[in-house]
Amino acid sequence: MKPEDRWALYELWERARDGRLTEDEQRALEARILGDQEARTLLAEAALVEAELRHAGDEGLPMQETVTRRALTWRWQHGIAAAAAALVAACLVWFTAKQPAPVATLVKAHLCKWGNSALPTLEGAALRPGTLELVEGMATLKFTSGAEVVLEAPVSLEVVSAMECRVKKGTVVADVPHSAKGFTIQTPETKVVDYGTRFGVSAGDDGKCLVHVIEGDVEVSRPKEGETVRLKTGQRADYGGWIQSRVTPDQSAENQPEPDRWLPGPIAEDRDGWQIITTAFGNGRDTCIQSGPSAKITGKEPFFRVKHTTLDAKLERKGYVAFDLSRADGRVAEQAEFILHLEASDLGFGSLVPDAEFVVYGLTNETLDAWSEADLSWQDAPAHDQSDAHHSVPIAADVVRLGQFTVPQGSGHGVFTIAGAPLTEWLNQDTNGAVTLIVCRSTDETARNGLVHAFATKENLRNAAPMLRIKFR
Amino acid sequence: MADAPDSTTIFLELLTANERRLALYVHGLVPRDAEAEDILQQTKMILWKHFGDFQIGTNFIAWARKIAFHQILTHRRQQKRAHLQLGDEALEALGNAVSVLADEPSPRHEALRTCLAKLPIEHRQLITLRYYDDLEIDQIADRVKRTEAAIYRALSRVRMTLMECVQKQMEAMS
Repeated sequence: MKPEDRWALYELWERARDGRLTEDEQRALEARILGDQEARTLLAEAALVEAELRHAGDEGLPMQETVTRRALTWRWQHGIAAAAAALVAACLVWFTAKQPAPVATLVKAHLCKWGNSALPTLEGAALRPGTLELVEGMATLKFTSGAEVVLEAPVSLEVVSAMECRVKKGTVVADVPHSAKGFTIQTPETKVVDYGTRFGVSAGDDGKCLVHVIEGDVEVSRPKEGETVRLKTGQRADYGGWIQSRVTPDQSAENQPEPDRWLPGPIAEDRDGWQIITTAFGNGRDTCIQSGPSAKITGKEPFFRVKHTTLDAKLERKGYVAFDLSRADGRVAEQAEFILHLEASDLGFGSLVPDAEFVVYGLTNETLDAWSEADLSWQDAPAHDQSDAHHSVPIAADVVRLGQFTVPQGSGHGVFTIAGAPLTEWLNQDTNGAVTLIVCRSTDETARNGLVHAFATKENLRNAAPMLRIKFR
Repeated sequence: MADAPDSTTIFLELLTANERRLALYVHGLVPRDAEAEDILQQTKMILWKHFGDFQIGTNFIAWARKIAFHQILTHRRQQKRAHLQLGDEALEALGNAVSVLADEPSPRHEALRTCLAKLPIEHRQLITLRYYDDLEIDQIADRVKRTEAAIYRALSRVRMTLMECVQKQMEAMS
């Protein structure tokens, strides 16, 4: 039978199940069943599979977590010896073992796009323990304990029980009534226990976590650091350097900036065994230093600037980029690339700088890897001193030259990559799980006020952060 | 105690051994879950009541299916909407074909398990709504915001994918 014929036959069957056939269609279907053995067997097989689906759902088909089985009604109206009835009943009950009860309901799904979730994702679905992955939109779960958790995409969340869920990565807001006091949200390294409140949690799979109490009070603990803090309305705990103070909660809710939230991308599987690590992952950093004393660089700019000029001693700039390699776990890189996204610069004239060559160096002196974005300066940057010789070149003893790229004159966007054996070898020599790259421009400007090049940092919302693509052996 | 087991024990043993096959037969011919369960329960009652008529040593499942089939016919006279829209003759022919297939040993259950896991999530949702939640077609259409005709097309498409997969799996397994 041709596939179209089978499809048509199945469609007749579907409608026969609902009594939706016209008289002609019913006659045609009956004729097939009575006169066409192939069709009859196909439908019998369909009926059997369907019976397996429904009847055998209790025996562990992968559907079962999505099933809400109604209670079976036993009808023993006919007279029968009581003892035998009990025996038969006992035997029948054995066939209908019960599933664990649902612990939450998906009460609202607004503009939702779901990833590969093990749980049903239709509004109204009853959820047993399992994982939900929300790619886009907002979804609200109501736990049977009364706790409500709003998922703000992107987020991956595991429903554990009526009193517990686990945020693998992403942002949720929990609204916990008194009845669900003690409701717990776990993140990869942080545990948040609620005491009747509304609070937001944003967590990354690298252990970063931010907890913000909108109203009420919660207890936040980090077992790894043996630390527990109690937060009240308006207070935050920030594990991961999103805001200035790491652990200390803000003292007051006034004059607070909006809390930061996790976004995907810091580390990702790419095709063919490549992995991408950006500066947003773990202990990654990206900023720049400038020779003039007036330069105010906080490390939170959406770009870092690089410039070389022999015409103004205050306006030299070098870029510093660090990656967290802790996920490499001692694996050996086979190939690697370092990628920067050029930003349209807001400083200087492009006409005054020809095609510009940039040289990227890798820090080999690992004792210098632990610099901080917030206070890196012209005075104390790694592999750097203030002498003229090192305005656009690092101290040779502390670095290795990894490669160079050229930005065409006047260009304000584009992706620039270095790759090759020096980069790969240098990465493989890392022993402390952190690597620092220094980006210098070797091309001088032809007159003062020439263009300052800018490259996107992890704080940039339009362009990708500096990244390493590594293919491990 | 007597050496020969009493008839209650024999009945329970036979029913236990054939329960699953009987259930598959009834569920295969009755598309509504609750209705199928009712019929199963009443069939078991009748089997027990008339167990004296059964000749031990003959085919229990064939006897049980015959009684179940008559129960289905009786029920569908009262509950037309819950049953397949087929004449008695076609239903009987289908029932026989189901019995033949069900009596061949085959890893259908395992195959189905594998194939369900392979279905895309939207398809699995359709199956859940249709076969587990036993929703009417207009309710499903309402839930997933599509027309009834589109749901029928989608359901038959999902069924076809699933059946092809099950067939292949069973061949690969046996």
